[in-house]
Amino acid sequence: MKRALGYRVPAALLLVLGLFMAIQYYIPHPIVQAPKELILQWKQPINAYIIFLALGGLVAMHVRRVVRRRERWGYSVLTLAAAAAMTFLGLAYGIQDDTVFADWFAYLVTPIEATMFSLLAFFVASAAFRAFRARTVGATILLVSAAIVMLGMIPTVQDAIPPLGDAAQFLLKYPNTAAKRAIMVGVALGAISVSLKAIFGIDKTILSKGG
Amino acid sequence: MRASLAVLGLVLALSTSAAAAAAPVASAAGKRDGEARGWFDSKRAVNLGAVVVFAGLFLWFVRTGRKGRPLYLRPIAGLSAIDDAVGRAAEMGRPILYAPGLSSVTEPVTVASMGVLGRVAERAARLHTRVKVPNYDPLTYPVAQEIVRRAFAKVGRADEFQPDDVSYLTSRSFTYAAAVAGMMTRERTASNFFVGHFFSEYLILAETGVATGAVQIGGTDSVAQLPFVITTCDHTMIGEEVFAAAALVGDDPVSRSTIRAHDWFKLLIFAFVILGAGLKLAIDAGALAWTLDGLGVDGAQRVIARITAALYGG
Amino acid sequence: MDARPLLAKLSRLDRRAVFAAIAVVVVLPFLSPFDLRATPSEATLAFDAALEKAIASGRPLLIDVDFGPQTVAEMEPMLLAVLDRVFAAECKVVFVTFIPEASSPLRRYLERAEAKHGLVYGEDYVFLGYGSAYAYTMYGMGTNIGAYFHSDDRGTKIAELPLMRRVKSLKDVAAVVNIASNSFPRFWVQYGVAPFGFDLIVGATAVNATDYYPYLQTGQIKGLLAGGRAAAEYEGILVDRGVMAGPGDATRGLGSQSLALAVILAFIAIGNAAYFLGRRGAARKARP
Repeated sequence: MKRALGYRVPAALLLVLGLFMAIQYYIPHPIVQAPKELILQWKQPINAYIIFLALGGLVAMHVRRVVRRRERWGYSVLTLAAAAAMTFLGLAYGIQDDTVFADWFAYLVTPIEATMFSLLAFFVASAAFRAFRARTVGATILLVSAAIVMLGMIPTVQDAIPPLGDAAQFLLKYPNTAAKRAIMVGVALGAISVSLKAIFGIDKTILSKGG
Repeated sequence: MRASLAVLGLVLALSTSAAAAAAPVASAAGKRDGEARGWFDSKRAVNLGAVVVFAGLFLWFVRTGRKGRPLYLRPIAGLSAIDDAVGRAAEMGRPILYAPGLSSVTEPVTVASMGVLGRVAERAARLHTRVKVPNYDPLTYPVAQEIVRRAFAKVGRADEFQPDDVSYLTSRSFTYAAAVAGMMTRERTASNFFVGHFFSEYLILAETGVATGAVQIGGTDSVAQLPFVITTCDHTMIGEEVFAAAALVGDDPVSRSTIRAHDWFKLLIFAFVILGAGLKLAIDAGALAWTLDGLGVDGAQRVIARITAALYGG
Repeated sequence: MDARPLLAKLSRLDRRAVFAAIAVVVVLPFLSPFDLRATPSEATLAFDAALEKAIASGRPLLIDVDFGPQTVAEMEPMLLAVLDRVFAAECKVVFVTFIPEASSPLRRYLERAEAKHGLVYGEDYVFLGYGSAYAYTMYGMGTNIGAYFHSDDRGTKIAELPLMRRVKSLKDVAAVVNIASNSFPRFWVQYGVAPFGFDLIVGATAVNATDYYPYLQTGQIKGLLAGGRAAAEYEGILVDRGVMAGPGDATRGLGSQSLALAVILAFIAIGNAAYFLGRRGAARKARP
């Protein structure tokens, strides 16, 4: 019974529902579309459950760290306190715009995350400085293309040298698009293959029987 | 088999009741906008044909793989470098970091990443090296933990597995990046693996890894992040190579042979691209009209107009 | 003077110097502003044309806003420009978001737009709120929006909203506009455009936008605003048309963006010059 529930039933569900969701795309008849709608609608509460799973996992991990006095356990106390505070504020006073929850999100979380994103500008500069060296023919082509696109994005340069702007747009429209499309086709085929292997039970990683 | 039949029965029962409840609304909607409500949507015929061809190739090569026919697959740089990267960490006495990406375990690339994680964890376990796996997704976390635990157990080192090495951090991308960057800096990880789907925060992770002097192996299906992966990693798996790597690590002939299905289908796409481009050139240059006239085809221009409308949209 | 030792030193420049230079050039235009005007690209012009076509049809729009605090600087000007355009044309709009952190900021943007354009909630616009399970909900909205959003963001039942009596599914909208800093436009193509065939118009970050050029080329996406620069281009179009009184934040950010690009190019040039001169010196030393 335990073995059936642990593996066989999930594998059977994967097979039946996976095939059904693939086939329903081609059959518009209501007798097929109605269960599809049901499945799609059930995904919403399942997704909501995942949030509880995340919270539970987070709390369990940090409580464990505090109880066992692992290194830097003080930060775990901080994490738990912050999670508890935000949960309490949200439940007690709501999350609409004029609440403490909304203010803390707007004045703490938002600037922190915006700052983290802005770090990318610095990291891009240092990565470009380190990586864009014309060591090989391929690297030189990469360097020249990048330089054309970057120059073409500067309005004053684009106005002064219109062909540079046109060249930048050409590079984005044709070589970039062709390369992206080729990679996307490969990724899509790989994704279909992994999905088919999971549906047919060839790859059992998703059921934690892999590795 | 019995489980599948039981589930199928349950789904049919649910679907019949749902259809009975929804049919009046559905058929009214169908009558209102006049769209197809029959048993087959003919607008998706080409799509179905492509799916059938690929699925057919896939199942053919699964069959071939089960017969155990030898198959050559070119080495994948990122995969070949796993042993070196793990060995480096073992020599330096520092842990390995494996970031499985920022998508859920329900996404194919994360499933593929779990396959690669199994290989990395097994190699690390053999060399008494810790593997730290910070997770972004709460569903991926238990799967990753189970895979690493099994990898250690497989080589008889179950007691060396530390559950806290596989952790769930947060489901916010830049917070995750900050936490992992901190982990890399504090623990001075010797080798970093970034295999999965990444968003804009990838560069923060990878640049921090570069700053700590770690060897980095990256692989992603995220096309936007590929340039950053290539510039920051010592070995890269580009797009589909992540899926191929997952098939190869299993050492399972069936998984390896399914990669052939990708290659054959891509050849088919390539053939259609060449055919389509050639046909368009022939139409534009007037060669097709000349050929059809020469063959005595009546209404050559009408035929060409229909081909152009069907294939190129007018 | 032999510049090689200096160039060699510069090629091994501490990255903190690079960071400092970027910080200076980004801040400078805010202290000493200068005007820049970006020529609209083809993608931006296609975005404008597609949005105008959708507005001209007289049918409502669905606008999906999917950016969080991290990308506010790049995406907010884009969204504000689009809001100005659609509400100035008295177009009816249904708003939705598939990321929870976008709900609160979007409410504030809509409150400001309501005050600015004299809008009536429920008739001129509706905010459905946050929808989870984005791909499944996108796919489901193609046939029945009410099955996935029983009430709007304010808790009002969908059936009680006049606008939602007209918009039952995505077939009832002129176009879907997705302003996203993530890969959701790709899901809209897969789960929306492919099965249901509506027009999709996208605003994306510059990093993600390059992924959408293939879809733009095939017509699966009708128009694309690619990052902050494209937002500045679109602001310019709206200023010329008289929709916006003056340039917005995207145009103001062009100076920082342009100077930062120039500095990065300068560092790349220095790095390569040092690399080549170093190679030439090593080759000269190796000669007998």
